Amino acid sequence: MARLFRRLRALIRWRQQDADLHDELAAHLALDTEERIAAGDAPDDARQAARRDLGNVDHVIEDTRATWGWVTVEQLLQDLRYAARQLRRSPGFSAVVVATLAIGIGATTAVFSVLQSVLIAPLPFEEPGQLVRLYQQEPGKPDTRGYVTGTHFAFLRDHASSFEVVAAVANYSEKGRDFFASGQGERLRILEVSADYFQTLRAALRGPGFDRSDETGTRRIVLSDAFWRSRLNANPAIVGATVQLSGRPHEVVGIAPPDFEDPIGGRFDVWFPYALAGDTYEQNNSLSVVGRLRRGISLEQARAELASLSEVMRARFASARLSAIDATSLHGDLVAPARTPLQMLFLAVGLVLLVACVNVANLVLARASGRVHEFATRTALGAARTRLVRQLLVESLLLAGLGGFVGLMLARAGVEALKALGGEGVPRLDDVRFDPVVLGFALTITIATAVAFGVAPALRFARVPPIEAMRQHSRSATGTRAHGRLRSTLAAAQLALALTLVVGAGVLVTSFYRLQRVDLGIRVDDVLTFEVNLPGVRYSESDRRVQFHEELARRLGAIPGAVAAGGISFLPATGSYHGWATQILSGPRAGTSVATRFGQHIQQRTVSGDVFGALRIPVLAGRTFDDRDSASAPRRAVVSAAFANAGFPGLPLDAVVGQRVRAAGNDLEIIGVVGDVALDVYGTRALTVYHAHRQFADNRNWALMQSVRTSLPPEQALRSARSTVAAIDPELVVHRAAPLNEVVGRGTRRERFTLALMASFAGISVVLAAIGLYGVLAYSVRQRTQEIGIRIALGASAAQVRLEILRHAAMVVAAGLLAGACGALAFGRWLTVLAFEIHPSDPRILFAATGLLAATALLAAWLPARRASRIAPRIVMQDGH
Amino acid sequence: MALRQRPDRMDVLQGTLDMLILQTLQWGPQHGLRIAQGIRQKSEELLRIEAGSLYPALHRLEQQGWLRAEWKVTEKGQRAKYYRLTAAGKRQLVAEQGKWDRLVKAIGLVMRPTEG
Repeated sequence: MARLFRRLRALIRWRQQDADLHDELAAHLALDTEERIAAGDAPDDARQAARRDLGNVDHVIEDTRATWGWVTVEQLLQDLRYAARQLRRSPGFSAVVVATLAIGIGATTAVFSVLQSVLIAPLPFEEPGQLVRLYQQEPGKPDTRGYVTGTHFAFLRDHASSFEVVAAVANYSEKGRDFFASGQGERLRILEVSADYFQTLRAALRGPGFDRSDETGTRRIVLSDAFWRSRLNANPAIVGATVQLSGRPHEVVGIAPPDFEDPIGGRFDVWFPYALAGDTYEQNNSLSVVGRLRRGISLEQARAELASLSEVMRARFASARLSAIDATSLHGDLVAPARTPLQMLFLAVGLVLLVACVNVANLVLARASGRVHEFATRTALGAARTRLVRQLLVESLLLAGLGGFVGLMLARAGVEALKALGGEGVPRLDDVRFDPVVLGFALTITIATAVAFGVAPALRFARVPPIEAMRQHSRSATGTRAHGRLRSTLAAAQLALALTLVVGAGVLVTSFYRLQRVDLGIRVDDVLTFEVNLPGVRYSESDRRVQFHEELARRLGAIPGAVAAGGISFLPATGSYHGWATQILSGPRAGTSVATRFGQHIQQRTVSGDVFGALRIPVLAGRTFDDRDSASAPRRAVVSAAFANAGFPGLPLDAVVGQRVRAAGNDLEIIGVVGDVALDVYGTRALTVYHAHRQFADNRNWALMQSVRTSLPPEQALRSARSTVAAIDPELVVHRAAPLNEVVGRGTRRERFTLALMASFAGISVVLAAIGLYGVLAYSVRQRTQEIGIRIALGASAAQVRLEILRHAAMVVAAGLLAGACGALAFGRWLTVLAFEIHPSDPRILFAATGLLAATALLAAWLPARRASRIAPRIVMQDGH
Repeated sequence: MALRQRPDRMDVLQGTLDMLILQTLQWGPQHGLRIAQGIRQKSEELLRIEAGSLYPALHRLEQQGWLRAEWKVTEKGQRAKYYRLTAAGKRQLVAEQGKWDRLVKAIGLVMRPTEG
């Protein structure tokens, strides 16, 4: 390495060194002359004698230069130039190899970078291995990971000795406060946390932070570093001072460290203390709990303690009777949703890299065998074997270097593309950084492939006596026939790998397509959604809030182009929210509680305006809410058809109207039955009870998602919505504005991410496999030109020749596809998790994928076959030396 | 003239010229011409070093790290490239001397056994 460096340096300096040598010899001459003159010689004689003594200056220079080491460097440059010329001479070959290498290297590096940052890199907290997530599990159902109630959390905090410290995060993550600066309103993302939150995550705050007395719900806050810097000019005196949020003063008790993020919820602007003291409603499973294990305590020990504590809790709390508390590593919990797709993608990209390597091997091998004659000639002309091998090595390295360079660019772009594609669907994606280790890995593999397959055959040929090699040019010899077999095997392997990937992509495409067609019970097109929060100070009376929301819905619905508008506490198909116990008070099952098939509580939604019209949820019986359902009127509810069927089995929907249920502490009369909506994008049917905001506004300051059905384009609709809100109250902030199909689409983001990648991988591998097959056949046709020509001359028909080439292709394809089918079945096990309403071993997908590859292979085989059948016998005879 | 005619014969005893150069430079930095003159005078005109051998040797020794070159001005005010022995060069000289002494002794034993 040091020697290489010295040589490179010498190369850079060689001009300078050369000039220096000339100077040195000139000085020698001058000194010698001078001394001879001083000794009494005539100047002319002296000069002549000195020159004679020095000898032939050119020889001196040449011999001296030889000691510098740059002669070999110059040879290397010569090799490089020659290699570049060789590659330019076959631009198609060079481009394909470089592109193949680039794709292999780029894709592998990009995907592994994501894998590394998302799955492998530890969480960015001090001693992250000690952090665990606690959740509530229904007994005997280890897969359920529910949120924890406030009372249970308080109990665990006091009794679980395995933990140094435990913190709770209120799970209603979309709370916010408004912050006004220079007339501009801004919605802040806030997170409510228990007092020990920052200690648990070991975040060193600037300021004292929260203490347990804050858990009564004080207005003391911790600011994010970013908010503090961008909005409060990084003023250190702000700690202890107050900041106005949503019209109320809040005391700043701390500033979070830079880049501090909540492990579960991500970035927040402000942290609030969670009012744990007031959270005594035992049905309210709403807290995410994170604990830090005591040093020396393993996760298993902690789990054992939690299991025995669960026994105690079952006896103490009625609400805990059917559940248990369990723990899992926080890191594992966070990456769990991404683990399977990412692992599968990595497997897939590994296959692509393999296909790429095989392709490069095949191409380089073909080229090397095609150049037997060239090498034989050069050997015959006296080129040393080492020189030939070095030449090939330089060529391979040049190719690999170019491929690696383009691959690097691809990988960089790929990482960015993956981040954009994955969005919120993949956790920790923001942390993804380009991974140089992986690049090195991929680069090494591909370069090794290129070199091994480029140089190894050359070594063999170089051993063949030139005369033999010369002969080989005109006849296909055993050596090249063995090569042909190797290359056919490689092409078959490529097809097998490609088929595996295509089947994988096929499963995902089918799943995705089915997912798109899932009936969500709502129409997601042409709806703009946004949120408006009412500051507690000015809207402390529930009447005002009712007035505002109904007025807003009325005005939004009256915007030109709008059809209907209304608010809802949580949008359909975006997940579970407010699952509350609900009792049936009348009908055949009076006195019982309704629950879903999975024992979950009933989804509750609070609605304003005409949200059923806006979301196109059909009214099946009775009516929806209107002005009759005021705060002073008897409490009323609208229920979903599934709820009606579960709570009032046997009753027609018309008869459900008028029945009575009890939820959230209120007796409700059912006034209408509406169509079912999905809980998530997979179409899980939700049992839902709708409350009128008019009657339920006193429960809390509801943050209703406004939905406007409008034919206007989204930007225009948003402008109208903003001016509508401002017309009612200019200080309010419209935030989280997005078209409904995007809000709902987020649920399928992960699928889309996986799908897009799998489809690209499959596409790439098919193209590479086609190139590989084409390469094998085209080369074989070229090699057999003479033989085929003679046979045509002897009367073989074009169809016969074509058939023979295609038969060769068919053998390769059949072997490849057979192996691929086995590979696909093995690969399918990874896919079962991601597949939606389709089984990975579904024969239809296998057939379709096989068909696609067979068709591609036919196309790749057809061109060489046609060329073979068109060989003119005359040309062959002339070519035959 | 006999020795002048076959400077490349020095290659037969590869390293001998190197040793002579190192030995000459023991007394202080010197330029190429003076090194050649030094060897010639010390050998009582028996050894004449051709430029075609001297300069490649000097550059090779510099590459090996045994010499360091530097442009300086001679006592008569002319520019010349001076070579100086490095610490590694001094060690090399000692090693070469030892080797040479053993070789001379061995050859002496073979050529003149009675005197041994």
